[in-house]
Amino acid sequence: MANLLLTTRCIRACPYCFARSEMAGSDPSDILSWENLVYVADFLVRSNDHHIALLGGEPTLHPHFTDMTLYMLDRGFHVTVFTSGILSEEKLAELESCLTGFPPERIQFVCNLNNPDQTPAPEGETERVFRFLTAFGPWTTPGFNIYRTDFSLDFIFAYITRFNLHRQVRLGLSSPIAHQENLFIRKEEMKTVIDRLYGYRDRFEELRVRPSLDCGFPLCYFTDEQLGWFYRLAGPMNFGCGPAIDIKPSMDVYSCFPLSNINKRSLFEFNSIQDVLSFYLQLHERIRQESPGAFGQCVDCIFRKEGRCGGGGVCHDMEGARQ
Amino acid sequence: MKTIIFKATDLCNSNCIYCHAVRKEDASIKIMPLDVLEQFFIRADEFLRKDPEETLKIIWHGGEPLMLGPDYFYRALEFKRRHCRETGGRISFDMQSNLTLFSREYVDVLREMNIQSFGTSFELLPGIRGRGGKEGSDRYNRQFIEALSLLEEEGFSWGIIYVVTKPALKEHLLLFRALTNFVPTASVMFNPVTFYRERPDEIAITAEEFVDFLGAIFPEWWRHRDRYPGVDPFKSLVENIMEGSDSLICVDSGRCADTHLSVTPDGTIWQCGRSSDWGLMRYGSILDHSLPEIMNHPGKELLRKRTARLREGECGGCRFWDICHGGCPLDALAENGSVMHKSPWCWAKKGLIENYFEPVTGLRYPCVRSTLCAGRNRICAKPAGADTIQNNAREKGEKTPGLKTSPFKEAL
Amino acid sequence: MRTPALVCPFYPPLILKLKERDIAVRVNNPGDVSRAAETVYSAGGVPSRIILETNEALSALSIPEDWAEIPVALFVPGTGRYKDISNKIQRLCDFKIHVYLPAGEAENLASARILASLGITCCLVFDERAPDWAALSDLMTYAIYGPAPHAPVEPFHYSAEQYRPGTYPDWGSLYFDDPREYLHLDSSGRVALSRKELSSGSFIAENISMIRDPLENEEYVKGLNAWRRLFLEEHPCILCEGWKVCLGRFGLDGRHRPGCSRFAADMLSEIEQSHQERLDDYQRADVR
Repeated sequence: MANLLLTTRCIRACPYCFARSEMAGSDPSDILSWENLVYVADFLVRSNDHHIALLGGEPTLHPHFTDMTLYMLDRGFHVTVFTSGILSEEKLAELESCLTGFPPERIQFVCNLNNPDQTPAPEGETERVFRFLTAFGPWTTPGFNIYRTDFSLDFIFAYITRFNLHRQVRLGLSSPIAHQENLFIRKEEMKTVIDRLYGYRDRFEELRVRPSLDCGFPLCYFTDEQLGWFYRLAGPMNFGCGPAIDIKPSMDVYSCFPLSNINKRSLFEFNSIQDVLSFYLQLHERIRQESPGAFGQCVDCIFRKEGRCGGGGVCHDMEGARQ
Repeated sequence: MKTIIFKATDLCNSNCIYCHAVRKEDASIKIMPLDVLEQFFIRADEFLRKDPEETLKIIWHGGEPLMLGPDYFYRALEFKRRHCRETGGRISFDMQSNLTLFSREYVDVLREMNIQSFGTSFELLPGIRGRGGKEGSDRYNRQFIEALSLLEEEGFSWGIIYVVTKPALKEHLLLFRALTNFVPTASVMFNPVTFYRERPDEIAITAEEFVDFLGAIFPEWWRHRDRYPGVDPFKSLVENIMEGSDSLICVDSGRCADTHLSVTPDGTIWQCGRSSDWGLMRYGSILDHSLPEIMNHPGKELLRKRTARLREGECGGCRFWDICHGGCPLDALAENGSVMHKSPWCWAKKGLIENYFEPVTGLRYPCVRSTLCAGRNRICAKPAGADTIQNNAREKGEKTPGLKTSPFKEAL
Repeated sequence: MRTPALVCPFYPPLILKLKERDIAVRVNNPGDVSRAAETVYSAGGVPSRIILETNEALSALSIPEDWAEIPVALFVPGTGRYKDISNKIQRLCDFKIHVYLPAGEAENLASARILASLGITCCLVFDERAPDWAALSDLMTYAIYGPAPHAPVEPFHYSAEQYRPGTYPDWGSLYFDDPREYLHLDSSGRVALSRKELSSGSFIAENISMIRDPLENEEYVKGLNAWRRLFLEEHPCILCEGWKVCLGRFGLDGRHRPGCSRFAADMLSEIEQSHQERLDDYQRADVR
């Protein structure tokens, strides 16, 4: 699945945002054109890939967001929209009238939620998020970015119950941006984060909410007990770090946001999404050849050598190199 | 195969300034009488019986052949059926016409003659074709265009010969674009004007001018040669030089003595169409002589000797001999009073290849041919790169003679 | 020669007289589409196309079920927002509808691409407004070389498919502007060679029954290949490199030069390349 940025404009200024470097360097008027959208759709169809993620910045800020989403659905894609949920009433009404007719199997939202206490929002923003969740709860998976070790997930569980969200939380580690500064979880804080997550196990089980871990979590920082619990509740876990493939409105493509400054190319240089993936896999491999993992123990780690753990995020290697 | 330029009429509804046939305004017989027409087919049958391998291609010419009317062609077919019962299958027909008189009345008989394509002409510049100056040209062209539509709807194809006159010289690329846009198949043959009744200073061109005209077009053609597949002389050059084809038009073949004849309305047989228009190289009459007799005429024998003489003489060592053979004997005769000279239009081929074809394509003749055929082609069994007398003359700054005035105006 | 279809206004007394002919009927009211088709059937004819010309955007039109088997040429000024046509996409794909959009509106170029990618045939209409030639060139490239299967974007698809060296892919018939394919009638039954000539009152016959064999009609023959008249006028279009794929249509006989000229030259080059690639593919297939 490719990630397609509809716009680089965002409505928030999250302190951990690892897309910041891209957003800062882009022209706010840089929005995806219809021509490029059709090109991407054709490109993916030809690659026999019928999944697409729409993101940004804030993708719903694109003036044709509703139309473009409908178009991709009409092309037969399964669409995932990564959003803050902060929409105007008008836009929300439009989305409701156009998209609630599609089943959750065709379209889903991943709503990136910030803790209202730890990451206070401007006035009115929380209400807008609530309106969005009210309308699209059954289509929405909550997402949360861990950028501080004392994070709290209580509000997520409350939202799941209140708005009938998917019984799943997408948990991301805020990653360092190569050659930039942002708030992120450092390597030495990884154990603390995992222990704290495990501390919420009762709440996860009570509400039957599945924790879904994003890239960058190192396997060896989990105890056997923790691994067993995660597996029992959420199924097999992926400790790898691979290219996500992000496509900008300009058709620039890169491995993922944190590595957006490295080996950026154009989608027009490739014949299929598999070619793009292959290209960036090779990039990852080159980086890992020089730096086997983000952690000291990765060098001799049997799990890394067997390919069962990526040794943390490649972005951590780049951060280490930067320092 | 023998090609017979069959000028059954000298009548024409146009007045093209470069037309050779206009000199025949005073000829007493304008349309071939039916008994002469019949006699022709008797002679044709006689000829084909004598040589079972031989074929005849009869090109209806003139004047304007469509002035004969459809009935005339039906009579010709009738004579063919009557007198060529067993040999008729080896007779084919073609036609060169200005097409302005084409109508549906002709369709059936043309199909019966198995004529599928026409050679014609077209001129964008005013005052060159048609009667009555610009207005005449415009009227003529309108008739021509209307006829083309009908022709195409009836399934016939066509290509044009464009006669390059002085006014055309400065419009080379524009003419090329316009003509190739006009003709669907881009089948356009550029020929230099060699005859003009009047205004020689305004009409005549030299060989150098003709070469430069073609040379200005050639790069554009070469870049898009697939788009313009039928433009001559470029297409033929490519076929001869790059593809090793031995197919040459009459003026370059050196074998026109064996391949061409012409018949005029009174039954006289000439060497070819142009020779009949210029009143040169007459061989007799079909009323008195058979075609085999004509083919053994001393005039024909002289032409056969010409080829050998030139190869050892004036054209000796010329690297373009294989695709030129000294050019048209008629032009040599008109210029020098004898066929035993090369054509004064020698530079038209040589200059085109040396100054334009080779530099633009990056190829060199005859090396390309020898590479293509690996020495199997008998024509390429020559030392490559030999200098020629003409090349030396060119380097010394000697101008290749061109026709400055019409020899026929002088003769008349 | 094929008997041309007749393009008429929706005037039943006229249509019912045109027995057993292929008829294209012009209507302005969407509600008349089905009625026009029925009228043609009643005359024993076949509706070649029902030409609906409307000032409403596609988003404002409904596509009723009874259009399913009717070939419709839908002339609209634009599509409107995609969200407002999303619910029509299935019918636009499944029915025999071609959508005609003015090329002079920039967003129509994007709309044509969108619709074609969804499987809906689109035809660009070239009128007084000059298109954005660069964007049009991009769309043309998509139409000829688009990476995924899509419906035709005309006139590019037609030109590319019909092109052979030595031919003119004259795409006038896509717009009912080719006397070989279409003759135009007014409500009195008078016959013209094109819509333009109909509007200007240039008739070639008072009645279609006077034209048994079009090639017998002198004016008809004169009107074939009308583009050749430009050569008589020494029109600048006759010198255009892209003439063969344009014949004066893109730029309205040169009114939009030089943009149209550069565009047509590019289009011819791309079509030639596409043609050659197809030939190479056939040859490779033969060799295998």
